[in-house]
Amino acid sequence: MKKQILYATAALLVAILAVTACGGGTTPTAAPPPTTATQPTTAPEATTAPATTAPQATTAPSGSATKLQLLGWSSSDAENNLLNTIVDQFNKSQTQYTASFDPSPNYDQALQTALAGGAPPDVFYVDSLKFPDLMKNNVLATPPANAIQDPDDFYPSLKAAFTANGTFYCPPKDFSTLALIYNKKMLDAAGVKPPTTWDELKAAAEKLTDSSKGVYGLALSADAARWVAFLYQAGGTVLDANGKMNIDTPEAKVALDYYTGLLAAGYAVTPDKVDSGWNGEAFGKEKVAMVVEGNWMVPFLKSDFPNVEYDIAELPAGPKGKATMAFTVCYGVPKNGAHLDGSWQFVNALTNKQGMKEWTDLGLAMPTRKSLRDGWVQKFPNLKVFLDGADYSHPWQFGPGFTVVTDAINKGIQEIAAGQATSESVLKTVQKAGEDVLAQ
Amino acid sequence: MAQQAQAIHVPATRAAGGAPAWLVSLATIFRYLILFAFALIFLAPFIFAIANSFKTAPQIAQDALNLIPNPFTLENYLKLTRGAANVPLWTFNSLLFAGVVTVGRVFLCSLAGYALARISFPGRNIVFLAVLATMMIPGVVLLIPRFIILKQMNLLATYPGGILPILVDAFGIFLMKQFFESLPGEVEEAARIDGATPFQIFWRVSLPMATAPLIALTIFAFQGTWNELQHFLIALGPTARDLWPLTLGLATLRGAGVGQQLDFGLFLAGSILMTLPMALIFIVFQRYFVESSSHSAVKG
Repeated sequence: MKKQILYATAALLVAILAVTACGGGTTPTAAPPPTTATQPTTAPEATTAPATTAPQATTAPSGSATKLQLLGWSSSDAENNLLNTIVDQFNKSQTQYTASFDPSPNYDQALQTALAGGAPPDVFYVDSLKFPDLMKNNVLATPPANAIQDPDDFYPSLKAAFTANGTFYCPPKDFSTLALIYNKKMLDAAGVKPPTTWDELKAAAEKLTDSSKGVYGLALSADAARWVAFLYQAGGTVLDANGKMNIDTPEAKVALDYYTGLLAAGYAVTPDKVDSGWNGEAFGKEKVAMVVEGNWMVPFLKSDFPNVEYDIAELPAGPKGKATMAFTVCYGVPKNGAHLDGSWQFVNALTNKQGMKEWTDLGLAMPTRKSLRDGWVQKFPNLKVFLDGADYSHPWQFGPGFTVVTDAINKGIQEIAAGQATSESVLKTVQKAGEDVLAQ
Repeated sequence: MAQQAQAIHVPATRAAGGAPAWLVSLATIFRYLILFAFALIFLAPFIFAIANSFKTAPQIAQDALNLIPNPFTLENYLKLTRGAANVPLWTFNSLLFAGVVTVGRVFLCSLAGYALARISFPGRNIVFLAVLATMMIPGVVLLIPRFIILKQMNLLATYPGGILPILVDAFGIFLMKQFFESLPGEVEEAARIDGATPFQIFWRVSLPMATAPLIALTIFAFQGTWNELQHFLIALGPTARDLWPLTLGLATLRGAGVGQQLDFGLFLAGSILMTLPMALIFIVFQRYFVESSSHSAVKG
């Protein structure tokens, strides 16, 4: 008897295991920020310096050179290949170091383990949202003098995202901004011009909505990374000038009421309402006429929805003017890295003017250096709106541990849209969540 | 289907003891309908995955629910062999890891389980509790300590580093111990009187009776290792791409977790490739498993 029970249990366990194994896939997260990127440096340029190694000069560099690891995440094939090309150029430009780009699955976990375990990569991607966390844990190395070529050439808002206590820690490799992407045919058919203000946006969304056909004016996901742009447009902030949580304000209420009001009125929908995983998919399926998304939409629409005709406009201005979000990633060097000199040479090769030009010449990533702006816009005139966003953008960055706060915002938007909460109560909750995180 | 229903119909009539025949066949049809519905629910994701893995990106985006790829393309599968993806090598690594770990777990867990069940030594219960306690700790907590230990032993990014930490697991020991305790002690006593050593008793007498839990353990170990991602990510790391198993390799196909960059076709093709061997092995072993389990049930 006992035996049968055991067999049955074993069989059951196996069955459960088999079933759960089938469901183990991770769902792709909807719409995170930064696109891709790393920058390539092209030519060796000034980096070489007198660093040539003495003993091994005659042998192949790969055998004797010190290895440098660039830890990052994987982007599109085109970008991975380009980055590898640029890394190769760095390797050929000098004989002391051999760098390799190692894209990792589960990037955050891989990085955290390597840092905590005392074996950090020589260079790694730092997302602007995570930069405060890394500062709090004091893991980033201070760049030596002149390690970063012409630091004032970077857009001030992007430079500020990686500056703490007056030190510019790591050069941003590229960035993305939000803009209003609209379906040309749908706007023409409804006789609507691309909206430039909140009022026009609301009117346009109303006109473009035909709920009997399941078509809506705008897709707005319950996502802090979209709503915060509206917050800045309304003159609100997340943190005040002193870094204190400051979201429970009349301006924030205006922004939240406007955003959720569009949803409540039925002129805007969350993408799941039109059977889509994220705003971009709803747009590609032509279920919505407009979306607030970033330049990652361009390659996405090209590959998945090549027949949709679209154009790009600046985000409509709010009561306090224009604002957009900038998502950016920098090349960080760890404080306890084993080859700091090589790391900085490598970072410079990737982000100096020549390296960044090569990296951004694909048109997927945007240059973070002002000096490259004109050349890039000439090459990709249709993406000008995204690059122009740099002038009035706010970095996607708050304080350490703020994923808790952005989660609270996401949840709040959902609850308001479902009629389960008011904007006052949500802002109070978010304010409290932020204060708690900052107090830690 | 109709024939099968018929076959079941006959004994069912007898068992029902006089219920009208039409009622019985109706019940049978109904039963099959339910089975069919559940089978469909479980199979549907696989069918859609297979269908979509042969479609182009625009087709997946616009018409994911259509089961017929039009145009039909092998591009997604071909892409797996190009560029940074090295699917043949990753498959070999997966097989190697899963194979070694399975053999190791089957052997070591049954040894340990037998010792804990049958050999009395001081502190046996404490050892058993300590083994059980490791099951209570969430795996994530162990990641960084494990990384540090592997680093100190210079085993990071090596095959042994990937294998050793998962070569034995508490669950396997627990399963085997419980089983060996349920065996009748007389058989072993008989062997002991005949002069067998404890290892001979284990190897020649007890282990052959343990086919059912051993097969369960085999399936667990193989399937668990085949699907393992987190441990390999930490033990092998992002640099050692040549040592990666399929799980790590295919995870890079997902990109940065940035939804809009997910190449669904490629990802599904990879998933199918990864699921197939597992499904085959499971089907084969399941047959043995059911057989041996029902066999012993009759004897018991």
